Amino acid sequence: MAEVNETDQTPNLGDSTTPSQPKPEQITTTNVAVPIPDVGPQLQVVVDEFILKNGSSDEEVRTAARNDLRDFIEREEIGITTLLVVVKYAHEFKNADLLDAFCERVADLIKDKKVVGVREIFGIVNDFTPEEEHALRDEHPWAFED
Amino acid sequence: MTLNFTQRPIFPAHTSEDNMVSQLRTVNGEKGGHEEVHDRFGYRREIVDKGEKDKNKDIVDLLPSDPFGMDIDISTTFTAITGWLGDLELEYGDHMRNKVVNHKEDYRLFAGFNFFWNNAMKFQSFPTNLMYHDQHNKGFDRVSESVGTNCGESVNEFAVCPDVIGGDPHDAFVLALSYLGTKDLLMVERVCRSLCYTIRNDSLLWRNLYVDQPLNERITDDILVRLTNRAEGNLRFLSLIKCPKITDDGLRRVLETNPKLTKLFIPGCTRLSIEGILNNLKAFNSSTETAGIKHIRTGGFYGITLDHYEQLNNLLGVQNNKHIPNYYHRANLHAPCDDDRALDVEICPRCQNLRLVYDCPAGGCRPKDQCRACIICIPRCAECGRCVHNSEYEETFSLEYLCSDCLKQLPRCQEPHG
Repeated sequence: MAEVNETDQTPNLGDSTTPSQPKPEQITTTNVAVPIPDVGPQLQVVVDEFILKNGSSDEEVRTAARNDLRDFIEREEIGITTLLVVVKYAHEFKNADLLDAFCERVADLIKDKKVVGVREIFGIVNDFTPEEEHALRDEHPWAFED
Repeated sequence: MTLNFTQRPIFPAHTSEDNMVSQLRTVNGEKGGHEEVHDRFGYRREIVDKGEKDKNKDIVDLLPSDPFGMDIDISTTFTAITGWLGDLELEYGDHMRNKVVNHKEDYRLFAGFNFFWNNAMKFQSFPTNLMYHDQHNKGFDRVSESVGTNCGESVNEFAVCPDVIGGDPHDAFVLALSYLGTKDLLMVERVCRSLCYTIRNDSLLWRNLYVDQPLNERITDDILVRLTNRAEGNLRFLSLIKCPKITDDGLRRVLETNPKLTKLFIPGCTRLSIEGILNNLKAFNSSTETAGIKHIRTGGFYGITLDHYEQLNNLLGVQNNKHIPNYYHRANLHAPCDDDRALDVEICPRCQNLRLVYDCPAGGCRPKDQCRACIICIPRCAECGRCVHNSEYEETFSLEYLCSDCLKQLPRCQEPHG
């Protein structure tokens, strides 16, 4: 379950699918190194570097670090499982910025997809009965193009 | 389809498995035949279709000689197919036992063939001791049950990614849910039961509700009330961008059940009237159970008067006139600026009408505090927000103004005489 902090900080309203939850503020972040056992050494290096730069007092350095991390994730097309592993550890270690970067990537992979697409990508099995599926689809017909 | 199966690749690139299957179906169900095929395999083929019983008749005898009018001998085609499948068995039989085959096409092909060539041929029936988790096998059972249906359909629910255990969403998946918009949340609800339960019952996911393209045109009062109810009274921020079906009454219902609402954005909601807003706000902000709405964005209301403006200010509790600069950008047309201001409309210093008023950004013009007005009094560059009435500018095809600096930043192809 997502950790929520009582903040007034609201997310960016620029795009069409804005997230429903305010992201945790910087204050509650602990910017310690997050050793992640199941990822390759290259990603670990990048994550460590990000954490280092993110601890800087200079806003520009922090922004650059975040952008670099985002670009890296996109460029290398990090796999789903790895992404989710990092999300899990970032959450455990309460590193909000790291959590942000990876969660946003996961969210990007979900955005504007169809239900079967999401199941495929994330390896989730459909455990609904056909009747239940039908009922669900009929509940929000307005939300879907089909 | 080439008949020289010895040189053909195992998975012919251009023949879909559906074509294969339908050909095979035809093969199974029709009359015609040839003895050669029977001999080749050394034992009789049973007829899969449960209508035919003449055990003495070979299945190949039921084949039409040339069902597609291709001027070929169907038996040779049949020979080719069966021989080809025999090859498959030899080559892939081992693969099936030892390795994880990660191809979705493989599944469908093998599933389809498995069904039709079941006992008829000594085709490798799908062993269950493979390295897949149980869900895969479940799916395969479904396939073998579905007689004559499109095998592709039930296989769609497969988890193809081999490093997922159990077919349930990863634990960390739910953390990403709070980064999704409304439309995607509603979609993910349909993925599986655990996600459905989580999304419906986690009120934290619904504390802020943003309705934007493409749902904005379709959302009605009832739907809005249902969605806001998911927050279980904890809704803090409601943003309805250009929702033409939302009425004053719908908004009233939302406010009645969500006492913690503090931010309300309703630009472009054409069925909301300024009087309706004021009434709702009066009822809501004066109630002792609510902290009251502190921030409201209207996007500019047609017919708003000074009196309305003063009432709004009173209701929002606007005390100090601490000035927060507001800069114009084309994004303002779609989504309001989310800053600390209580209200977006102001009295334009130039025309005295109640509109959205913008400041001139740094590097703009002469005394900046003089360059404050609505967009009609002072047109502005859609990109940087600078005033353009004194400096060089151009009106683009999208009927927005761009100052000379921003024009230069444009890629040249956009400007015909760039």
